[in-house]
Formats: sequence, structure tokens, C-alpha cells
Amino acid sequence: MPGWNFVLLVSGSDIHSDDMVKQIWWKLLGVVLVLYSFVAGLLIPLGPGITGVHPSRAQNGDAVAIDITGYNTHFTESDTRAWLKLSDRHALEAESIKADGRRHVTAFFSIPESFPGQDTINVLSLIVYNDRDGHAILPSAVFVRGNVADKSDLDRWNQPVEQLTSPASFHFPFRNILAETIRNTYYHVVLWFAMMVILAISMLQSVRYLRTRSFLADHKAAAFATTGTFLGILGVVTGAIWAKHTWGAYWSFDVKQNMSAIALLIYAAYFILRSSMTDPDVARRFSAVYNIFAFIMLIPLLYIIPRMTDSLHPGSGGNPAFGSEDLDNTMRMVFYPAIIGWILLGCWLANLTWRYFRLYDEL
Amino acid sequence: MLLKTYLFILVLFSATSSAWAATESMDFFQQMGKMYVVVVVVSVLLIGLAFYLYRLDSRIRDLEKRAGQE
Repeated sequence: MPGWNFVLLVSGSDIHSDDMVKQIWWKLLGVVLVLYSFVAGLLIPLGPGITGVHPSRAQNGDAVAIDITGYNTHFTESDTRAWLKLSDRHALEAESIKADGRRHVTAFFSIPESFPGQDTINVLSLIVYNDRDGHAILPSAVFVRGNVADKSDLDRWNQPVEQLTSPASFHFPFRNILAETIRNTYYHVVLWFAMMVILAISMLQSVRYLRTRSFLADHKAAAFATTGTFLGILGVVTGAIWAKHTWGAYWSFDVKQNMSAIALLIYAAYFILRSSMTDPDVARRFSAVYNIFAFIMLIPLLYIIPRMTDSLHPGSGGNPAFGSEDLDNTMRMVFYPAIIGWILLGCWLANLTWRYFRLYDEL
Repeated sequence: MLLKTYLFILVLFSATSSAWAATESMDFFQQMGKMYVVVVVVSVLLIGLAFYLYRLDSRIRDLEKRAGQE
């Protein structure tokens, strides 16, 4: 894999790669890529979304005027249509629409007496569409109470939302709850990707130390473990801040949070182990073996256990990750360069650190 | 001493900004669609990076002192 070889070269894994350490271009590349993720990640606007509806409750048979608050919408510039959607086959289009501004529109619906099925409470999603913005969706927007056995007005639900085409535009997707914080994908998720690569390099250096007993390999293992743990701490802190504003608390004892804290504690123990032994040769050997196990423990802690139970975190417990659905092509254009940038920046930090360790031993 | 000054400025900055955010500017922040969360996260990244470099810097300074004495 050429990419992996490159990472090994940059990290100074290869004995002949000390030239790489002295070269500046990959360090600059890392800075440029991270800078690009800051600029593009902060400046590309979000797509249109719906942030609120009022009222969010109605009775069957009612004629309701629903005030809709949009985000990054242009309701006054283009004729807007709105639907209350029950399922793929059943939806109700607004009878009329009144736009009061770029972000505010009132949609008038007359809700039928009967609903398909027997449920007495039906949950409707709201869809808004215009040519300028494309479509925006608010799931579970309106709760309607009441249903009648007489299904004579049921055919009024037969206004399924037609195939809506969004105009080609350059923006990140709007997701409810997340809103602008979807940008943290480039400042939080990326750290964990970089951390895994950096800690993998650390583990490989420990293997190399056990095979060759090269002091340099031991220094590199310790340095990459330091940088990797640093990225992990940043990941936990940024994750806690993000969680506060989406899940409601800094720490909700979610399995993903707990397991990443345990993973960091395992690495904290690595540093304690290193410094607690008086015989430096024994310390090197023990910490190399421990480091290999610490990395192997990361996989179940971060990727297996969270998937086995319920978790709020995307990518765990049947909760989709930023996968095919959430990570659209515009996000990929920032996400992947940001990962490479943070890996390079992490390698640079680790390089400085192991060069410090080497000097420390020589002096 | 310098570090203490920096920490003081940091605490002052965070205290004023949170007090500011709790008052009438809150509506503005809410309207921005939680953009302030992203700003805080990016700030944490840069502060963390600066902290790492500061630690390394002071350790290297110790080495330099030791090398000078020998």
C-alpha cells in the first residue's frame, strides 16, 4: 500500500528515512491541509433546513396554519410548497403558503378526519420545497391526535411528495440537532482517525524495538504514543463539548465515551510503566510489550464494544456513522484532506518529540 | 510567571465570553445554528497544540541548560 509506506517514511520508521525527517515539504503539506480544513470547513454554508414549526400539535379534521422557521432558506425569492408526510405513499400538500420573509413561511393545511391505519396519534414529517433552495425536511414535525373509522376522506392523503430535484449547489447537509456543528466532523472525528494511525506507528516501532533492540525505535514508540494520546485527549475534550450541545451533557456515560476514556487510561498506564522502572533496559522491553497490547485493546474498546450496545454516538449500536448517508461529497472534499493533514501534523509533533528523547539520552 | 499570566487571560476570556453568551446575545448565537460550538472546538484544538509545543519547548530548554553546563 503506497499510502502506508508514505506514512512509515514520514514517521521515520525506515532506517534510511532520516532525510525525510529533515525535509520540510510534508510538514508544510500537513499545515496546508489542516488550514484548508479550517477555511473550507468553516466557510462553506449549510444547506437549507427547518428549525421550528408552530404549532407542532393538531387535531384530526382541523384547518391549521403552521408557522415554519427555516435556516438558510429563501422563501420570499421562490414559490414555496409544503407537505405533511405520513409515509412514502401518504402525504398532504399545503393548500396555500404565505411567505413572511426569507426564513419564515406560513403553510395552511386542512387535515382529513381519517388516517390510514388505526393509530389515534399520527406523526407527520414536514417537507418544504422551492426551486431556489431545493427541499428541506423536519422529521416528526407535527403530532396529530384523532382518527375515525369512516375512511371516506382517506383519498385526500393521496398527494405523495413527488420526486423533488434539488438545484446543484455547494453546501454541507443540514441535519436537525446538529445544525452548524456538523462541521465538527473535520475537527473531532478526524482526530480519532489520525490517532489510530499515529498509535499504529507507535506499535510498529515497539515491534521493531523488540526485534532489533534499537534505542531509536524505542524513542519513536514512546514519542508516537505521546502524540497519539495527545490527539486522543483532544478527541475526548472536543467530543464532550460537541455532546453538550447535541446530547445535552458533557459526559452522558455513553459507552463510546467511557470506552475512549478507558483507552486513554490504558495509554496513561503505558507512560507510568515506562517511568516507574529503574532499569532502563527492562523498562524499554516491558513498555514495548505493553504498547503492543495497548494498541490491540484499542480495537475492541473503540470499534467493537460500542457497536454491541446502545449508544448515542454515530457508528455504534445500530446508529449509523457518518457513512454513505451523512457524509456527502461536499463533506468528503474537506474530511479526507483533514485526516491526511492531521496525520502529517501528528507525525511532525512525534518527530520533534523523539528527537528530544534521543538528545535527552545522549546528553 | 508567564504561564500564569496566560492562564489568567484565558480564564478571564472564558468567563467574560460565557457571561456575554448568557445575556441578550444568546438569541444571536442560537440563530447562528450552534456555530459557537464549532468555534469552541477549533479553539480547543489550537490551545491543545500550543500546550503540546509549550511543554516540548520547556523540556528542550532544560536540555539546552544542561548542555551549557557540561
